Amino acid sequence: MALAWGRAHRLSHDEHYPRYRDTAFASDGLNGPVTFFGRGRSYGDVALNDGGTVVRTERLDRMIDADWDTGVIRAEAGMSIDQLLRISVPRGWFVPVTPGTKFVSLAGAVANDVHGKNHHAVGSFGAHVLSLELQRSDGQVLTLSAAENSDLFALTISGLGLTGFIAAVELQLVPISSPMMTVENLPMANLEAFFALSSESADWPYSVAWVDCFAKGADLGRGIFTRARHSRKATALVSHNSDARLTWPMDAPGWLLNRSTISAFNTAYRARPGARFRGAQHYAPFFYPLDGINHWNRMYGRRGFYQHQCIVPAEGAEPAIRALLGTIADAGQGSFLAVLKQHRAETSPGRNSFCMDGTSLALDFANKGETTRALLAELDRIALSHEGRMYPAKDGVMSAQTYQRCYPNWGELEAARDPALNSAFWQRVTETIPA
Amino acid sequence: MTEKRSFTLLVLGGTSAIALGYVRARVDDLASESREIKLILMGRSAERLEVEAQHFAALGVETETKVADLSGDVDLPDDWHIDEAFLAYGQLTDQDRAQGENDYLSAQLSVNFDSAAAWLETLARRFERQGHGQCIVVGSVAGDRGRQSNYAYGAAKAGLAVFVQGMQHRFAGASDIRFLLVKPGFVDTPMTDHIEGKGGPLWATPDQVGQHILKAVKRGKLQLYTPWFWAIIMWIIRSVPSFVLHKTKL
Repeated sequence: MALAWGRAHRLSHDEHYPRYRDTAFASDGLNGPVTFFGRGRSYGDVALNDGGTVVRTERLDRMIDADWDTGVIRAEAGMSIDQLLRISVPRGWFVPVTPGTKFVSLAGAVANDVHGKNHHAVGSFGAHVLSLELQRSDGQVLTLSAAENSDLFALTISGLGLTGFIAAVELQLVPISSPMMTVENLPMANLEAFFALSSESADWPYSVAWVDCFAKGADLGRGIFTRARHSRKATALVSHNSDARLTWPMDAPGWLLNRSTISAFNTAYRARPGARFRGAQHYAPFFYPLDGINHWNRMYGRRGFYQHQCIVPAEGAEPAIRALLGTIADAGQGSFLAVLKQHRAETSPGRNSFCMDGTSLALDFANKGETTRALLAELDRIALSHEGRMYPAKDGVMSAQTYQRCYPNWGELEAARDPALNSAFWQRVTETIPA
Repeated sequence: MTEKRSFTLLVLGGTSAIALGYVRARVDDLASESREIKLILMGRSAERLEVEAQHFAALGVETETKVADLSGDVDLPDDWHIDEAFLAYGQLTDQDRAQGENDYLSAQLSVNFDSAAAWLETLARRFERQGHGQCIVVGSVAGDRGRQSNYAYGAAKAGLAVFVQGMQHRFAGASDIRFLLVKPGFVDTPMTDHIEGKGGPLWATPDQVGQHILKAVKRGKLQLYTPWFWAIIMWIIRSVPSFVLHKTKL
């Protein structure tokens, strides 16, 4: 049974581990529906299905082509950003966009059109993809790019892996002269301060804010604002060590993460010396603080957790975020991983990409059953009422109605979907809504 | 003025997951020492070897593939200078079939032992001529004791273990010629995909095994159980009296 990161969806299916990409989608003989699965860092059920086959691409982790003068690489579906960085950093290149964990496959990054702390500067992952190799269940092997099969290219980016097997990804890397980041952490008194700091930091390529989700009233939105850039001082190009130092050994008991413990953490986290750190930090702990703990998701216990991530348009963003944070603080269910970020208009060609010119808020919620799902539905409602939308890669419960309102181009993706492919997420959100 | 000569790594069984895990670790390691590397992958399938070779070529490693039936006659071109050889080819014998068909049994023993022995002698002569050489041989914990579930495979690997031991004795005086016998336990590769319920704390990935082997090579070790706890597991299995083992289905 493949598990996504939230571990809240337990579905049963066959698992297939192809060794070579030309036999990965031999869909005859595979119990349908088929869903492709990279490293399982999506939170909900975009990469899962019930009763079919999950094709796991982790053995398809080879480089196909690389030009270390231009920074253009082409790699197999299952190569992770972790593996890519260990190869590219010593050669002076970095990924143009990275999410909060490096353990995502390149195909997964394309399928979800992931974004990073630099979205306001460079857009999502899809904006940096030069071409894709797509395999369909009828045997076709297609090259997709802005120039060739461009409609299918745009649908495949942010296409949740449904248009076919994304067998290879061609990506433009960005040059670096150092593995270090120049980082500044600034105290953020409240939500107003977040917006002020964000606009002041517009010329910093990376920026993000951690928020204490239990702060209320005048302190709503209190937290730490972080901004960074790649250090321009040329130093030895040392990549990271993939092995985590620590492992969260087992499922924690369900009561571990509750209002008191999280509040206590938040207070301590804001007060710690690192909260005001300014200086040089290696890219690994800057981008991937949680990757240092293997299986940190077990901290949420056997019932797992849900993440809620939504984005609201720039106009009206402040009242929207205020409403969301207020609801969360009142409900008392929250987590210490609360992240606010400013985005700019999306430059990726993805037809169903999540990002827009606006502000996103991401939070984890321990799965406490019905109360959690009710809170998530309420947050969905608030986001929708402010013309916002939720992120499929994080979602575990979005209704069809909500999804279809957030992603008006979903019908195009459904039309382009390979008939052999489907996912539990897609089945849920494409249910026909009674008129 | 000494220039660091290029380092040639020969892989017998160029599509072996364990071999490739080692090669990745080795290539990373040599690159950090700024050594030029030449990689030769030998195996049965030209297509599959090409796919593996492409990965290393993209990393700037001079890579060559050579199609050969490793279970047949040994063909090691005379002009090849081999710094390191990794012997990783073999087949996981179907025990039931081996018990039923003599031809199959014989062919399996030939692939897993006879041909490997021939390769080892050929490499030993090449190393002697060169004055140096490192060979890594993939054995198996299955060779530690004959057990009813896999003794056809185990016997070949046991034979290989003794063969390597003998070579280690032969070359004990020559510090630059070394043979390392690796005994992996459960490794997550296509070879073990048919095993029910694989996965869990006893299982290692090819990358982990590759890193572990590299450390052992650098330390000049003679034998390696990987992961380390298999040394303990196999010590127990070897020490258990026969009447106890015979009661199990192991």
